[in-house]
Amino acid sequence: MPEDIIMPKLSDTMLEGTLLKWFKHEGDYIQQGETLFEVETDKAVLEVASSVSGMLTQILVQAGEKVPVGTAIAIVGGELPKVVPQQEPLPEGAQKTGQAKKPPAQHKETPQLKVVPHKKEAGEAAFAGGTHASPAAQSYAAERGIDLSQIAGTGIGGMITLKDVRDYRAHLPSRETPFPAIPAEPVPAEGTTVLSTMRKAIAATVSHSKRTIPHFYLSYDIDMTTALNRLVELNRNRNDADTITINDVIIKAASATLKNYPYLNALYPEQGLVLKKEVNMGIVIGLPEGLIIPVLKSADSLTLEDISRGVKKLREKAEAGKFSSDDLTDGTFTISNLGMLGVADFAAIIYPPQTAILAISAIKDTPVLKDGLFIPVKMLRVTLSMDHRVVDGISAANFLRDLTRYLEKSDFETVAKPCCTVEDD
Amino acid sequence: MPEITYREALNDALREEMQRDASVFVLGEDVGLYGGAFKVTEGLYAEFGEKRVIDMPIAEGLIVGAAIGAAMAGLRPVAELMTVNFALLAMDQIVNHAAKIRYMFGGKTKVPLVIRAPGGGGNQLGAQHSQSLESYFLHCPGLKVVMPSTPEDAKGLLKEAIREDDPIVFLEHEHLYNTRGEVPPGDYTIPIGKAAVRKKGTDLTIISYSNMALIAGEAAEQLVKEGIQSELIDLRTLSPLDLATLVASVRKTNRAIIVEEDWKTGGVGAEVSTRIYEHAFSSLDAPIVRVAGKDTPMPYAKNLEQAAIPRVEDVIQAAIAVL
Repeated sequence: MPEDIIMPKLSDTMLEGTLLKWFKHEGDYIQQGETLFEVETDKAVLEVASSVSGMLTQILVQAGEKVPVGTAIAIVGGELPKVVPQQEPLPEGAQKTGQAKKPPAQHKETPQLKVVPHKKEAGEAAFAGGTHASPAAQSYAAERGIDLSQIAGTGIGGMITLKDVRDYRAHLPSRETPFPAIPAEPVPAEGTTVLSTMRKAIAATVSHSKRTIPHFYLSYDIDMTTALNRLVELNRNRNDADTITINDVIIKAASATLKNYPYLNALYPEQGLVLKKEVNMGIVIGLPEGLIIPVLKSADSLTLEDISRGVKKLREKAEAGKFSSDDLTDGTFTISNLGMLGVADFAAIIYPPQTAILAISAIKDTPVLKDGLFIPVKMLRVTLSMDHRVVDGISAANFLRDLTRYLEKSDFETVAKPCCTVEDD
Repeated sequence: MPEITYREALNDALREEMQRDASVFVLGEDVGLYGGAFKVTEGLYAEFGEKRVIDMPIAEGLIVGAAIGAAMAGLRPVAELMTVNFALLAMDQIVNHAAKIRYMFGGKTKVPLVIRAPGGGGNQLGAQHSQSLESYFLHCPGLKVVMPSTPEDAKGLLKEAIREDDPIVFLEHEHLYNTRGEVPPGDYTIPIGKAAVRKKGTDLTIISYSNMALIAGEAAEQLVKEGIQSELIDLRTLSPLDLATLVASVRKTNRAIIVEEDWKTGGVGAEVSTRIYEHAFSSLDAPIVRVAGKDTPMPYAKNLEQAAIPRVEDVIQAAIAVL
């Protein structure tokens, strides 16, 4: 029974897709779940697996063609279409022998050994520069991109110690870098330019959102001193790959708090309001070519560690431009963080059909008057944008109040520390 | 829990194991009628008789050699050497036989042997009778080296050592025999190869064993008054070394000092510190410091002898130096 393979809808806003590549040829057998083709949507390049098993009997849409969502692009099952062999004129003087012509040898790609450029180990750079720092200080600095030459050592013989680096880091203007800084875009030449597919999609989405959703905004200042201290504790024995960021902590806090605010964790398409139980957290990631909002599924039931790992995975996929079709859909709430770029205050545009989005600004050292004394506080400004058709100020304020309590307490569930791996010798 | 001396704890361990298992017996110089040079075997001769508590001639090679033969034949001997200094006379038996027989016979025979010996200095017994020779045994594969510092550990580890199927060098410190401590009632054992964290702390790790664990403990208490929270690890077993506990601690504190009575050169601290460098290098925030016995034959003069053995103030100075 032949079945159509159609252009899938891979994101909430996808209307059409460009078929970039087929991984199978006509006549190949394909298993359900095996990667069949690659599509460029308005957001990303995605690999798509076959939904059925059988022989790929006909490719209807060739690589490079753009078709609307739902268009049949291939047929699996049935019989191979009859191919009329093309008559090739025989080269002059060639004898017709009746033997089948040998097909041209397949040009097989031989895997080549990749030359990996030598990567400097933690601390190596510091040695090269002649900086005198302890191994702990060197690895701590290397993991966080801190320049040791800027630090004066207080250890034995003027050695830079871990404490020296931590103290130095504490006085840097912005401590947390949940995402690496986005490289400055090249300045385009003057004149009219054609918007990329992605840019067009973003333009359509934000215009639609601002036109149709009556936004309103509430801001809160949250004391993150405890949270940051907890984070230092949690990260003490972690390497770079496991480091939990302040962004992860905010996702954890928002996901936990949203459980009690179904109207903020909801979808409001034209058909009517849909309240969601599960929190699928959209995370805005800035790429040179535009924004993308991958979704961390069931964030409310994940541990802080799982969240951290999940976000890292999404971020890696974003950088590689490869998402699975599942990664971009079904978001119920979104967080946009520009704190790492030092943004003092901003409000984000709601990502329809969601009903709210949380904007995270930079953490700032702020003096707070308490009991007649000024005390230094690591202050975080968050701004919630809401759809006023669905949510009112009081419940939104309650949400922010609860979020603040959660973060200021920062009593995350105990996270299992990585156990030391010691070789048996 | 009852409080008993280190000596009584060892005596209890021997008695209980001899009562539990008829294959356990004691041999050594003056262990029978006299009750042992340090009175560790007191009362055993009366209870178990001359077949199981055997007074041996002054011939350490013979004591250990006979014990090895008995162990190969299925008994569980506990050989007492009057002090570890005399173990040098038995080194061929210990290193060339006890440690190797199980390997060289392809596992077909085993040597369930315990060699007990006190050691250490501080009693003005002169250069030949004041040594800490644990690294000699630590160096030799096939031997397990146990050095408890408390009565509880002494009893639990000796009972465990007697039940082990491999040769164990069980080293006591002469200063510890009269120290008192709580010991759980009844039969219990403590696993070989597991260090004890005596005190939790975050500022630095102080690693020690045997009598030096007491010195390190006093130093740790004084450091608390200075606001320094050290993590105190008593190795209890030198071989196999409990690297996991050491590495976990250093990953937390980023600093370590080792307190040992043996000579610094080629000593226990040399091995322990290298292992830490190998497994936790990136966690270290200061060089590891060894507070060790001075590299000299032990002086007889009291003031010089005291200067040759680590003191509480030496440990404190080292701790402050790495912070």
